[in-house]
Amino acid sequence: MTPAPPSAPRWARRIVAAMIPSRDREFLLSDLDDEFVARHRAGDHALFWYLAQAVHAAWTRRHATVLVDPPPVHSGSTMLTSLAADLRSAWRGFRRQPGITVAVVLSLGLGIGTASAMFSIVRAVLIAPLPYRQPDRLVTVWSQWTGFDRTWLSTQDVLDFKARSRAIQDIGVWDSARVTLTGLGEAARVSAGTVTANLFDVLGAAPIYGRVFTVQEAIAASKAGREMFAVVSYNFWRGTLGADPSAVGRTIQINDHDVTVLGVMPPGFQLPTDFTEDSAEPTVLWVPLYLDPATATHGDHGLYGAARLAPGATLRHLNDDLAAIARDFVRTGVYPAVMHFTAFGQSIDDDVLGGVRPSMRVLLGAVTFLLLIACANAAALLVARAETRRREWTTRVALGAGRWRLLRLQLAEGVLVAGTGGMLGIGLALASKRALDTIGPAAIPRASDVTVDWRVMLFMLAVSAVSAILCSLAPAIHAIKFSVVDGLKDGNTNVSAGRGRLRLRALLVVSQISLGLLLLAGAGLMARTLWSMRQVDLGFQPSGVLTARVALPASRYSTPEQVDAYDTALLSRLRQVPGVTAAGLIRSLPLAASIGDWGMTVEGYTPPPGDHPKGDWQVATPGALEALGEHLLRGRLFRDSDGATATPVVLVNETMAQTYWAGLDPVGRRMRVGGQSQPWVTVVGIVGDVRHNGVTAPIKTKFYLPYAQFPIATGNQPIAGGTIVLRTDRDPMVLASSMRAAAAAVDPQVPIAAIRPMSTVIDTALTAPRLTSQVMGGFAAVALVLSAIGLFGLLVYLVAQRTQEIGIRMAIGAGTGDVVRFVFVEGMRVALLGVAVGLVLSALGVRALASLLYGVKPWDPLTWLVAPAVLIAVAAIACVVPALRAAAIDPLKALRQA
Amino acid sequence: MPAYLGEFEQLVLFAALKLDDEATGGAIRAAIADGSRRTVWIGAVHTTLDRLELKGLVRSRLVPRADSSGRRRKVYSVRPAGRAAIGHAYTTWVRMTRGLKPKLESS
Repeated sequence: MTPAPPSAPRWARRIVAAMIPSRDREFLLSDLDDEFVARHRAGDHALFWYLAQAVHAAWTRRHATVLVDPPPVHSGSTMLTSLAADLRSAWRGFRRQPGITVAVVLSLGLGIGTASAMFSIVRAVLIAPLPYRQPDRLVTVWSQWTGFDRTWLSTQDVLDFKARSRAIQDIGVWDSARVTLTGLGEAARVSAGTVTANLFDVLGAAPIYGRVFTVQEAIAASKAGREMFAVVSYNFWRGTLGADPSAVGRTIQINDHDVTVLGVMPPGFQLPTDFTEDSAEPTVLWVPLYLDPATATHGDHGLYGAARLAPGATLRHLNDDLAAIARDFVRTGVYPAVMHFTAFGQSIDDDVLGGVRPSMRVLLGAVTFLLLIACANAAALLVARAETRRREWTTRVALGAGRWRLLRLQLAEGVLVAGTGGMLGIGLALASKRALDTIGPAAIPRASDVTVDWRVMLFMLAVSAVSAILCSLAPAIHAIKFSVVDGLKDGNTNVSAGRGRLRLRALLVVSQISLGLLLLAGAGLMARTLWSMRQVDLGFQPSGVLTARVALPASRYSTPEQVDAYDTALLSRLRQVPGVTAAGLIRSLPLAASIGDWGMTVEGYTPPPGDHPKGDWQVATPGALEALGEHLLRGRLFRDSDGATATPVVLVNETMAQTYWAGLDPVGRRMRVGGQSQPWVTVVGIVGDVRHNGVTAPIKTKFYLPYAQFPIATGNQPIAGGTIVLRTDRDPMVLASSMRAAAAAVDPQVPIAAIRPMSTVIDTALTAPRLTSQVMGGFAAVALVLSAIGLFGLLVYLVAQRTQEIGIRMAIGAGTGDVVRFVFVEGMRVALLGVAVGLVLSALGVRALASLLYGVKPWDPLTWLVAPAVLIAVAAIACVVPALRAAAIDPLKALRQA
Repeated sequence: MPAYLGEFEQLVLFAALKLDDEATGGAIRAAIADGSRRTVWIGAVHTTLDRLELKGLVRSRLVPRADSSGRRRKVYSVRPAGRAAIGHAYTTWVRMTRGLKPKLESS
């Protein structure tokens, strides 16, 4: 079989076919194809040649006249041809006034570009559907009790919900953990989801290769106590498994156990938490989880749940069911009444995107204002341009051009500048996409999916069209009102008609300034919010801290002794690294991972009936709190002597000390982690409160156990791994390689991951407010510049309009100061009017911001004083040059002009 | 008196004569590009061919392509008047350039 001859790509041929006039299409395409083939064989830039020839041919075949031809007759396309003529005329006009043209195009380009960039983000983050079947039928399920607005489910909760709620068709649960992957080159730590067999079905996602595990396989894995089976993500399959089609059935090593790969999920598939909690390290493979009814309890809240609604059921039905079941739990004593336990479902959409929606909406609103400002600016400039063409228009009307024709001419100008601005906007949108990639805001779900695709292009086209209309509107009204008599009369002398246009332009500038104030104040409020968040006392010293995560494979580190030996060896090596002043391991790093609570018994404390003391549980080695820079308020921190055989000790935070030992000194008193079966542990110190679950999250009671004593104090397995924290007096990242080397020296099979300074952890936690604040700031700066240009242009025009008036005033004795004052006052009147209108607008607009603010009120006096002040100051600067120019008018020349 | 031909018209006619039954717009374009070592646009070639056809110097016919595309190609042939015109132009060239070779090559 001979291979098919190469030919021009279908899309290219389509485009070319659309461009070339129908009478020539067939044979021109045939000619082009012939040579494309020849050039393609010769490797001679065939496609480029093809397109260039086609564009040229399309142009010449449409426009070139064959000399001996009679003049071309355009039958039935007068509308189009005259549009082309309008565009050409507009183009010639713009070429005559490049300054104004560049200003108009730049201002529209800025507006359209930022609007499109914002749209591309909003589309990827908010509008594009989640990778699940019928996401509107999918809900996440959460439990809630005092101090926990939205927390995990317990195994028995899940089984009860599934059995008792008729609104649930099926419920799948999962948890995520870091596992160690070996046997595929260097040992690596990856995020793995532990998921029930039905979860894929509940989410409505099917593998593209192989299959997912069955309940039987999940039971088998659970009995064996190891993973056994895995389903992997598309990217994992492409990257780690080399896109091997026979990867299904292959064996990989997870935590030193052989695991069979059963299937590969489609690209883009993620667990709901991978968009939010786990977005920094999304899960890349999924291993089975089995909820064994025989061992399920209500005491182990640690599962995420997603449910698919039964046919006909709504979220409301589900929530009624869950509330009823939760009430039943409380009635039967499963949970104490004071705990106020309940459960609820949330639409997957709200769950994944609810957190960013307010910011996105505010930014979308802000960018709309910016676009309006840009359009107003362009309109004002176009009115000014129309002014300079009065004679041309007078002639056109005198020669018989109708108003419609003038209007169309104006619209053609709008289309031309908006089109050019739109092209500029494409560049801007692409650049901002690149900027977004470098900021890499992992805290915003799906930010990495942002693309400038055909939808964004379409949006940009629509925005450009709207902008074209908006910015030709004012000059168009002007065009309609235009009359020849006025035009001839007005010439250069009539001031009253000029005043009408001045009012129009002043109105445009007022609207720019008022919207600008709104953006400026919004940016100010967001900046104050970010500042307030940065001022929050975190309870530790983040500067000079390096962190990294480590997890020990359970197969080789199962006993407390093994884990303890590793921890001790690692920390002693780390402490020898030059520059390290403190080093330790901590179970849950503040602001990087959430922390949950554990029931406890406090000696001598009688809780109110039905209540149980509890506290967030932290585990730390000696040196960890020193490395983090947590504050010791009383007593002491952990020592190396707090080993497995020593008296069990505990540290408590300030809030816990005040809650359970109010008026007493907790140091030396005892508590139990859990119930009567656990040993007493002695409080040896009080540490300051730490913001753990978020910079602005509430502070809760919290206790700290030493790693070495955790198994004794709680009766649980040892904590195998955690986050390494190092304090240094140098740049923390310099220590990264020493840290890795130290870990490798202790056990090369245990990788460390996510090495980052604590300052980065905090930056990540503040991504959303920081991004909002920065973007708003950028918008406000652009708005400020545009408003200043608008005002400047207006005053220059005003001075030109009134040259004679000013000349007369000077001739009859007005001084330079009077003239400067006259122009300045005119400018400031417009600016102040804009500010006043802006304040009224803000009263309506500022509510939208309220939910994003922290530590600052929507009517923050400072912001509302500074923003108008900045605007007025900039306006004043914009007034200076026109005012000075007016003062430099030579009265004689001005009068002679008249 | 044979029709007057512009330079590009002459090149098109030379090419069309050379190519005989293969004288499509594309082939003519390639031949001129080859011979003149400059960029030649297919649109320009067809515009010129249109003009020559209107002047009665060439004729065109649509011939089905050999492949399965179903499209036809436009093949041109030089009519007697065209032959006369290009012949006249050629002899003019020959007469005018006689004895010039040393001068043209030395410059």
